[in-house]
Amino acid sequence: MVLEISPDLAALSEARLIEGALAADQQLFAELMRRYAGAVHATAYRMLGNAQDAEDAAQEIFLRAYTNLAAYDRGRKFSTWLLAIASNYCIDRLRRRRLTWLTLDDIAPMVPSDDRAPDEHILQRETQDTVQRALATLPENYRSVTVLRYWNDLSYEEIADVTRLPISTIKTRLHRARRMLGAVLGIMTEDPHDNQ
Amino acid sequence: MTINDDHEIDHVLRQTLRSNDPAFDPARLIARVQQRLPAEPPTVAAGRMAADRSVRRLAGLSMLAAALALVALVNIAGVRVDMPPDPLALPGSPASAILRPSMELFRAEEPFYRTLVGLTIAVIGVMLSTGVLGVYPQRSTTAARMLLDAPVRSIMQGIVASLLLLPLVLGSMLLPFWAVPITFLIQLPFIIGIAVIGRSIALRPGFADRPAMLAPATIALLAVLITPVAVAAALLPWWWVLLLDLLAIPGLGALIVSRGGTRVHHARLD
Repeated sequence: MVLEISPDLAALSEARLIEGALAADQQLFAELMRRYAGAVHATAYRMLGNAQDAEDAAQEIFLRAYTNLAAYDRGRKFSTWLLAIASNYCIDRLRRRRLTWLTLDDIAPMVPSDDRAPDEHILQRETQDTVQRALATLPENYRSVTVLRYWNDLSYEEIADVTRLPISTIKTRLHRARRMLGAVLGIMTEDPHDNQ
Repeated sequence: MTINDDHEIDHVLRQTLRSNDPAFDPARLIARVQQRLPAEPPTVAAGRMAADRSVRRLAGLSMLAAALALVALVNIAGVRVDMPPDPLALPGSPASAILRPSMELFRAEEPFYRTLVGLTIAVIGVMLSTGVLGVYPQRSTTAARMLLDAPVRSIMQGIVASLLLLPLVLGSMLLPFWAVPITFLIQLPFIIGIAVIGRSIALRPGFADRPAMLAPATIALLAVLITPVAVAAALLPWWWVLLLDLLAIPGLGALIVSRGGTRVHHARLD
């Protein structure tokens, strides 16, 4: 599926797009989505750990953003507001996921699966899996700040704005997350004092 | 390589982590969201969603009321008169003094009680399945779409699941009076399956002007689906359970294939 970008829409300011979306102009909201789809999807993927869940979550995040758009404070950056919705939604979803739904897919071999992994992507997938597994070892709260930092390129201040936490807490969580990730990825030794 | 400097590890992690994002198609995501976006402005949509939440709470309460009604009515009407005597109804038991007169009354008036049981099951079945649609509108819709998109796979999964649950279902038919809530819990997936089937029929083009979860047409449809079960309950005590399970197979399968209404059919998106 190819995303067609209208030059007229691409030139519009974010404020104008938000005003249009508030007036139920779905084209303008689609342009907002186009600008932030990558960031939202990356956040969801890194938080949830698989592409299917990430796509579902990204849909829900944009739907929530649309229905809550009237509550958006124009004094904040839109990206920060949107990523706050994304981060909170993913944390909620991870908590709900603990109640895993019973599936019979694994015990019904006569039913073909829709999921196919092309051979040429196996190597790339292995690397992705390593990173994802390392990320999955982090507690949810640490994972969200790590994703915001390394995939969304947010500053400490912006992460604090997204998570509504003090900057000192963000720094502490990131420091510990880095140590844990580094230890899992084998690029540094974990400091035993960090977990105390 | 081991690094112990925080700034250095920050730099290394930035390089390692960001270079490994999977392929992603934003156009597909945007198209899917656009399909689901409400037509009204965000403020109106937010108000409607708040109202929907209230309806869902009410539906949840009605499900609870239905469950309690199931336990109470089944006990009062003595649905299990065909079954072996219940320990609670043994001579000398405090409960027997209360239960025996009503059970004997219904034995004497068997046609009446059977009709009452059939009607009770019809009402409770419709209440529960409507409640499912009210409490889980999104999940039931996703499962219903799965049933429309992958009917064969849904039915196959439903058959497998029903066969796996069959010992439980048969076992529940032998349980004594006091274990009716357990029977109810075992039947719950099948009730949800009926709700999914009703929703999938309501989703078909031309069935309803707007796909409201609790539209009268949808509730009427659920009543139509439950009616054979209610008739069976009046004519064949206990075998209605198996008929209910048989009817619910496609919906139950769709529920499983869609992971409880959390996953859509892949082909639908391409």
